[in-house]
Amino acid sequence: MPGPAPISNAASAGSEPALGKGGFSIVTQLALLTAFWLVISAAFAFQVYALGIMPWSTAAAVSLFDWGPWILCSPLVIWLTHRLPLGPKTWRWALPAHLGCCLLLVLLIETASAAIVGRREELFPPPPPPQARRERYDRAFREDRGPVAPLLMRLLDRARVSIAVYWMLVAATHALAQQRRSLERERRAAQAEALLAEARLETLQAQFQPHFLFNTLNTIAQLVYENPAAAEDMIASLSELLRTVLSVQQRREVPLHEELSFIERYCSIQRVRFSDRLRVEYAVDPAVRDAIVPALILQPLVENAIIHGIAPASRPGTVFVRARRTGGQLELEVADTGAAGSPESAKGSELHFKEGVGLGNTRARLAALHGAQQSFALHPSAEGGVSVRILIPLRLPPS
Amino acid sequence: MKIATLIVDDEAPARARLRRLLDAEPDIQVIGEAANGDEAIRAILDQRPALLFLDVQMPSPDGLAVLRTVRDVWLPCTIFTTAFAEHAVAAFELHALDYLLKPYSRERFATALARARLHLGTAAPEEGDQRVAALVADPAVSRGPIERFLVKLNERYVVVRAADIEWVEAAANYVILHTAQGNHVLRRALAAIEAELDPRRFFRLSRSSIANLSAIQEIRTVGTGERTVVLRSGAQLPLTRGLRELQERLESTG
Repeated sequence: MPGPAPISNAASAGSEPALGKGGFSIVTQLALLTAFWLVISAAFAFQVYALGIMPWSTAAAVSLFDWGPWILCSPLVIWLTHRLPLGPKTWRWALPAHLGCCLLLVLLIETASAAIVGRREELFPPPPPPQARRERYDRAFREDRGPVAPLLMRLLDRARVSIAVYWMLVAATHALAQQRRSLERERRAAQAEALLAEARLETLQAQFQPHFLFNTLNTIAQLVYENPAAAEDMIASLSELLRTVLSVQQRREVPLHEELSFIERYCSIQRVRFSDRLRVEYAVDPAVRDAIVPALILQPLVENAIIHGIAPASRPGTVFVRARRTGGQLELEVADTGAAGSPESAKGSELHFKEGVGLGNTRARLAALHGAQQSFALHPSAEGGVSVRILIPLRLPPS
Repeated sequence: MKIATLIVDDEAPARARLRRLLDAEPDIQVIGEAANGDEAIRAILDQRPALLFLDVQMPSPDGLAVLRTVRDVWLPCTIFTTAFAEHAVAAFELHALDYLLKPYSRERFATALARARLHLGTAAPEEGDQRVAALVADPAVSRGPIERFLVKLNERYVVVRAADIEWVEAAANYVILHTAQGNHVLRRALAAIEAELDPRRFFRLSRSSIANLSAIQEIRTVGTGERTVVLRSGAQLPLTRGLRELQERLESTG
């Protein structure tokens, strides 16, 4: 007996062409669908044969005659179901359409088979039924009800089954499409998770320019000879920075004062590299020192200020780091004195305003974390360079 | 005779480290240090080092731009230094040039220096390092517009910034760079200059002139459809190439 397995197989196969994707080719799907109906036919034929009503060959032929039309019709029904899905919004028009299609199809099938049903009985004369059934049968089909009645009765008799088959196909197609959709959703969710992890890793790498790391190590290689104590300090500072960066994955948010001490260490290294041309001034409102900020939010801004505002200048420059409360928000600002007076300045602000990888990353992180509740703005600073201003929701730890 | 060596790096500790390592070599004489690309160009032209330690990554002009600027005058045997293996490193290898990845070991430094000695022993310094010349000519590293031109002026070399050029005039085998500070003659074809200038900032007006878009004051139509471009400096140049394109470019340039 055909279990549920062939049904799902066949229906799944049949639903594929309408979706236009999936594991099986259209030919395979049609073949599977055909096989399904052949199995159904065989099952019914066996039943009839086993009851001893007909010889095997006749039973098979009759059964095939009954179920065969569905080999042609079920792909059509499945296709229709994909075109007319019965969803919460679509059922208003899809349901009447299905009712119409169902009626049309069933009429088509039954008219066609009724047209040759006489021929079928000629070819495979039904066995003499037991007396009681015989009488009922005769009453239904043979008694004088005019020429139309037997045809109509036979039509209705068989149409019940056809209508049921039609709606079963619709239901199975819906179920399988639903299952495929949920599988797809799961797959996409997994993909999004992977993308997120990847993005996090990229953030990490972008946070620290490799140039910074290797140049710092080269600086240490010199300091070892020149000033062993300074080399020692620098190794400690660098280790501290690496530790912080590596722990970001665990701690995505930190109190502002931690972020500031990270910046201080970072700048102490940069100061050695730039031979004291770098000064950093902090203006932090004590009320926001404990505010929660995304880890490493300031570092790319400071790095950007150093690369574009301090490094190209020949004279000393200053980076300003400011934090204050603005309404219900936390305002963070990193500004620099700019590279005015350097050869770079001739090129104007165009180069200065170029948004590096670090800044783009920070912008993306803020957008991902706070959506529309944050802002990120780049404009000329009062000190002659560039100022980056970030506004994020102010969150203080419960005291 | 000692090998005259120039150190170029924008970070003081990196320069100090090279100087310390070079001072230990008896046949090397460090003749100077440069802390940025412009200082490097000046030092190369003034001091004509035989050997150059050049940091690739510097605020503009970077190491490669330095070589591009001085290439017609003096190309020393060059050992590049860089903190990170980026695209330029592939080009160094292609042209058999040596480079040090910072932080480099003393051993690696010694190998690079030995190779440089070998090269200097066989080549005449005034001919320039052919490998460096090939590198600079390689479009893979020398892409992007040129920012500076080097022109000879009474036994001196003057750096002319591309941004300062008002227009370029073709004259036989030469071009004349017109700037507010004066005119400079360069022995090069106009088409070659056109290829090196930033196409967003310069426009070829005719067979014999290229104009800086920011120097253009007006476009005048004279008589029977002939057009003239008037520069802020007052110069009037015939326009024989696409008017529409020039208009679009003038509008799109901030």
